Amino acid sequence: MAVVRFEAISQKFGEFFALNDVSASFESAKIHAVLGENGAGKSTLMKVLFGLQKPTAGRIEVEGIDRKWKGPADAIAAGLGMVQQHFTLVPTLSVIDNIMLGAESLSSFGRLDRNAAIIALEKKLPSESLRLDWHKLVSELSVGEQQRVEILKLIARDAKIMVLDEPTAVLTPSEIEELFHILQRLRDSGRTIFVITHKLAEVFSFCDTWLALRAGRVGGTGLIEGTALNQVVRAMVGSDVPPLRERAVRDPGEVFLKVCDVRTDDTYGVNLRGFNIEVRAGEVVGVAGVDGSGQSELVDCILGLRTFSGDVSVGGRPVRLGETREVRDTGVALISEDRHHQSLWLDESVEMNAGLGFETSFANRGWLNVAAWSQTVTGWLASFDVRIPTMQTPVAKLSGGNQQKLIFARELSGRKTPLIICHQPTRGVDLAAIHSIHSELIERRDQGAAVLLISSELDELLALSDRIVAISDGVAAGEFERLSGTMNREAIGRAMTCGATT
Amino acid sequence: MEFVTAFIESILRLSIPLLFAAYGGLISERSGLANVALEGKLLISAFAGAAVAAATQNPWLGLAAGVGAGAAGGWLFGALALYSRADHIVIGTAFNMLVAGLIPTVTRSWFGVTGSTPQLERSARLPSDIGFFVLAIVIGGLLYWALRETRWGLRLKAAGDEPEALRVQGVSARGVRLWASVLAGAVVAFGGIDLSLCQGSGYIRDMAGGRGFIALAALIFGGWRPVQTGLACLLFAAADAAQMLLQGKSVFDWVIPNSIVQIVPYIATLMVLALRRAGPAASAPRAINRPLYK
Repeated sequence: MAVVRFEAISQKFGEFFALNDVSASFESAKIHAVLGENGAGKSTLMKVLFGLQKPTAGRIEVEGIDRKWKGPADAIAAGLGMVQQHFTLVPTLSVIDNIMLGAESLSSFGRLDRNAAIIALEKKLPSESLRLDWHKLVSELSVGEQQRVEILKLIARDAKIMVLDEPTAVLTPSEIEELFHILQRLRDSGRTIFVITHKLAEVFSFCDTWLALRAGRVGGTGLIEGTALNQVVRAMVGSDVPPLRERAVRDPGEVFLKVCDVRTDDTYGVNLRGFNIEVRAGEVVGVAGVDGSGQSELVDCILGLRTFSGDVSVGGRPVRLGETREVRDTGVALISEDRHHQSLWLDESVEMNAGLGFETSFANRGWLNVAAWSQTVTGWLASFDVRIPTMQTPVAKLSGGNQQKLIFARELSGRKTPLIICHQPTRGVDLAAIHSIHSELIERRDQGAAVLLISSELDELLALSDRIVAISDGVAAGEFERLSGTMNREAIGRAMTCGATT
Repeated sequence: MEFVTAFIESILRLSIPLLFAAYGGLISERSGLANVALEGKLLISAFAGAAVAAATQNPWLGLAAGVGAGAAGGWLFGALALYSRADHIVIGTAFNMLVAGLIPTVTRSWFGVTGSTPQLERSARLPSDIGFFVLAIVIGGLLYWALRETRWGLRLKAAGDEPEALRVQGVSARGVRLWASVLAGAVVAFGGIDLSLCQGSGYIRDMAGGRGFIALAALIFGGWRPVQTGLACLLFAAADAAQMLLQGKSVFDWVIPNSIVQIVPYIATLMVLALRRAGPAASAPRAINRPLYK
């Protein structure tokens, strides 16, 4: 019997359909994998189920009853529970205190009855492997154990349907295996579990059914048993190939950016684990991967913003920590992933933003030559067709597309740029601006610039790149070339979701 | 020997306003509400207590009024800081300035004097300090127990360290903080009343003399923990007692100028804070001064 049913769910944000006519049903006591690329709508669908998001259209049925959640509290009361990707635990409190918080067992005088809470919880444990030292501080637990506390919170509140948002993103391989054993135990005790993920290897080892979303629509669904990996990949990434951008035929020149066996060592978060990539003058090299596979860390290493081991060189010059200024002066344009924080000063004027980073060239003994600044940046903006009301308008008031074009104008005009690093250059940008950004990149490439294009949009990468390197969990999981014909959508999709072992 | 008992007595007496202010600060800061408004709360409760005692000639009504004023001040400060989502330090400073400006205005219209209440008769003052000191110690003990063993303590700590964890359980961290601020104001008030109805005889201008800030220093030095904070208050009170003892004393033939002697407690506060080693066990509540949106 279906425990959860979606019927024609649509979720509109402005003109954009995050979910478009999604219908699916899920049986009870199974582990259901909800798959999709970034922005495919998988998290939105689960938020709708959990009452964090009110769907624009469609109905939700839970245990055969039509449900209209007012908020997550309704869903919790009906036996749903969600483990967010970012834990909400109090690190300074013990495990049992965290589990009790908000639903405390009390004895007289408002005293906490920890023993009663522990006894009640232990009765509900479906597996001994969920047991923790109840009195240990959460800050002393590993990330995997902290996740177990989150699951225990759901068990203590008798959740029958559990949603886990990318639960394995922060775990080590052995922790992942442990987590799924726990989830299987929970399933065997009759609970229904939804796992949002894009790691197919785990899905095939541990889950019972799969639902793939693509651009807000159902891309495919079925039982894991009897399904081929390729079928799931195709449902996730699609099979239509976008038109290739026309480009000059040219042999790539010298290697301009070289990243060799780079490793980072960060206690929390993603690490590069021996990543290699080379970008030559006159080629676009794409980096394909799901968000959080090490892309941001790669950019940080190239710019000297993060400690790493291994070799990075830009224009033949080795990159060292803290030498960001020197690296940029070698001729690096940076289109940052985090436009609002790293590239712009949102409350400041267009004029100011268009020259940021080039103050020195407009300064004479510390005094800014405002007239020269204004004149020069006006020229830069004009040549990139940035549409602005006035030069004094705060840059926050511009559209995403115009903000991004302003950044392109600044980064590509202020200095010679033999290397262009583009990280998610078209995220939150309108179609017309995407077109002009793509044209600009190809033009620069034809003129001999080395372009490193990092994107989670496979379409964008396929349309622009001469070569694509797939990144998965901090390592290069495969290289695909346009000329030799290995650039194949499915193969790239598989490399980025399953790692290098294919 | 007489000298030693006098010194100890003086320490205990001087520690009373510090203890109440520091414990009030502890309640509010552990809930995540940074509290630099302790000085203002000492002053407003000292004033309200003295004003009502002067008007009614009943010290107990004065006590009630002082506690009420402290709680109301706590509510005002908490509501301003929480609902404006502004920096708590800025709001706290504004609160102190508001109180400093408001009291002289009120005394002028009520008593025709700027900045003070009339001298209180013996009968309109509270009898002895001992009760206050015992109450302060009891509050310290209660806090030690309540932070560990009660639901109130659990939610207070959660609001101060990770308010999001409360929110996902449907508990308003903002509500926890606001009520903590009201309670904190009431606790601080006992310190203010001790100043104006016990140690002093009426309110005089700026009678807290920075004790609210010294209490804040004790709270930080004590790592936001009740027992250690109490000991820190006694330490600062000892510096103050030493200062009083040294006044008018001379070293050989040189009489130490009073202005130098009087800065001893403040120098001690600065030195202790500079020496404090920030360890993980003694670190500030993690979400202190973090604005809440729900």
